Amino acid sequence: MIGGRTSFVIFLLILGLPVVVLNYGGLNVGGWISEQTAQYIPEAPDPAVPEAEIAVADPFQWLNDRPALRDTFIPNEMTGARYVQVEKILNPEELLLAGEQAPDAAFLELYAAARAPAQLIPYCSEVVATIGTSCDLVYSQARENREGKWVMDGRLAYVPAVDLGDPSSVENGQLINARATLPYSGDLRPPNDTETRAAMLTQAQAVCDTLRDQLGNCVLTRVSFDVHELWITDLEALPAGTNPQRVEASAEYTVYADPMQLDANGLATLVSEIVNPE
Amino acid sequence: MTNDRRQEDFAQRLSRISRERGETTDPDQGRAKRDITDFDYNAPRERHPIRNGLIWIIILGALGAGGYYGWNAMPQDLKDTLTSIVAPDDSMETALATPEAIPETETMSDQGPTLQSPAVVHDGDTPVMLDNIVAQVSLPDDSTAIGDIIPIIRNAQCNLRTPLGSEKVMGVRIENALLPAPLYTFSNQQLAEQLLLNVEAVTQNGADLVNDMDLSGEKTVLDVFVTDTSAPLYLVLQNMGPGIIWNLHAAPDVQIAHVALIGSDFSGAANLQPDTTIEGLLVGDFLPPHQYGADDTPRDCMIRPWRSPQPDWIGSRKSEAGSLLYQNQMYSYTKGYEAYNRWFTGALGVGAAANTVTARDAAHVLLGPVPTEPFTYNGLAGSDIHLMETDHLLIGDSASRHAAAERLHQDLLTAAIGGDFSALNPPAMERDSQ
Repeated sequence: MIGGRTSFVIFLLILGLPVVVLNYGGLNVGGWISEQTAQYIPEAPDPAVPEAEIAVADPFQWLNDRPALRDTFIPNEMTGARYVQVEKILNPEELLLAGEQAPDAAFLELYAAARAPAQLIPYCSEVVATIGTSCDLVYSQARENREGKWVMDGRLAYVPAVDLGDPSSVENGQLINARATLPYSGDLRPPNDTETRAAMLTQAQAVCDTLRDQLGNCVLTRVSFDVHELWITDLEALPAGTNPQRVEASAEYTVYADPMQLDANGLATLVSEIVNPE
Repeated sequence: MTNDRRQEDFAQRLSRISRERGETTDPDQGRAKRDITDFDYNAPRERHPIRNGLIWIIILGALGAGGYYGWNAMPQDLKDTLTSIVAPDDSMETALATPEAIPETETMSDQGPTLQSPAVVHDGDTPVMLDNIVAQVSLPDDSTAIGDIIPIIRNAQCNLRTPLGSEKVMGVRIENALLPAPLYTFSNQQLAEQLLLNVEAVTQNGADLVNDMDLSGEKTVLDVFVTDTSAPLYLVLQNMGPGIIWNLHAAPDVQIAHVALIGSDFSGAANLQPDTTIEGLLVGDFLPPHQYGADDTPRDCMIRPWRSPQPDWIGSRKSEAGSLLYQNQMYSYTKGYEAYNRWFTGALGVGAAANTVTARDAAHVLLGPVPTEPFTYNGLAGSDIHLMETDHLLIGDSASRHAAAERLHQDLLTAAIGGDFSALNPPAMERDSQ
């Protein structure tokens, strides 16, 4: 009798063990294997073998093996995961070239969409002067706003100019991001001009640099410039010549961290403290 | 395990003594036979019905659950193959059908019948072919030389001529015609919309503009064979897709009093009888481009010509099989048809289904009975075409028409860009180049 019970318990254990392992341990088996593989350090090359015969290791193999991280952290490519969102507002006459006749009204949206790339690519000069080594317009669109002006939106992908840190040193990591509006002084948003936008890009990158110093890695995944136009009544109270277009910038920061040590709320708090120091 | 064989040696000795005494009976004879195993050293085997039952329940449960989830995780084509092997008869296949397992056929689409030439769509179940209706057929192609273009001034009031009491209203309602038409016609709005799509393909999806540029303006032809001689006819020719040249073929003794065109694109009609009047309603003159749910509510001039879903549509069957996508689509068709039918009934005095032949795609349609003798086909060659007037009309052979359309598109695109096509995709900027 006792032997029967014992064999029954053993049978249940045999049956149940794979279920427990697969359901609770199996989810991370792939990650565990990857971590173990990544920690493998190849032996030093044999000095007797000529240098040309040694296979050159891909310095980004760790990222290439992790598609979810690659677009964010690959340091030498433009990807859809890192971009600067720019906006330009044009009066209807600014849409046309000098001396050009206005087209049939049915073609205005086409004109705006077709001319948006030429209008937006110059913003890349601000990107390569601050946060990037190269920059390209990867998306543009145009729409007419309620005031009858043409609003052009563009995404400028860029190759970061700074080191992004080393995500491979993080165990059990996840991509965590936080957004913050960049502060400005006074009641009036800053003017929408080249110097202001370049300063905002530098300011956004500085926050990311601080995060990287603390957490080991950080990517400035998005900077968005939102342009607003002041009403005439607002302008009347301001000095003559005030730029009616004002800009506000927000930035998104992405880090690769162990969520048990830093979750999204924790990152948001940290970013807020850095962006708005007391 | 043990090598102790003393029990066996003792048993052999007893057996030898018995044989020497002349005894032949089994020493165990008369005793109840025990159920023993080799592993228990003659200990009685105990039965465990509850334990064994539990074990089998767990094993069968595990197999059942694994089988269920495994079947659901299997690719559909593999499931279809296995199902057809295990249950090849149609009834079982239908019983197991999922929405994905109900395919469109050559003649039935998600949105209704689609009949290529020479099949003729008509109001009946028997297949009818082109040679049952007409003789001396010369189908149009995209280079057929046509006669004059006679403009149709579009109805700007949404008030079609009211049918007379003596007239019989008949109709055709389809989405696409399947014969090529030898002309392009399009508005500036259509040209701008098409070029905007071409531009956004480059600026938003990185496509190659020159190789991928689509042109607007292609039209198609549908043959309408009319054999109903019961009364002067008021024909309502309706479609939702690209514009159609409705090529009319009236049998002897047929009188077509009036033709009303209702469509989403610029359409026309050919081979009208001398006394036939014609007018046209363009959906875009009265309704915005369709969005899901926009036509659910009846309203004035709701002239988008929806067709009522039928049970044999693949979309209806998928909807019945549980597809949420097709349930929404069929609901949209049903509500759209209800709103259209309400306008149609108010404007013409009969329901939108009255004496009306419908299909999604067709090359030839028959209104009336199959004639006893085929009558002469009205070719498009040399025929005048009554056409809804708009900004651009291109006729001529296919190559020259295509070249003219391409030139028109490219000239406008160049003007819109304000320079070379390459300005749509400017080169990347490098820090070193600053």
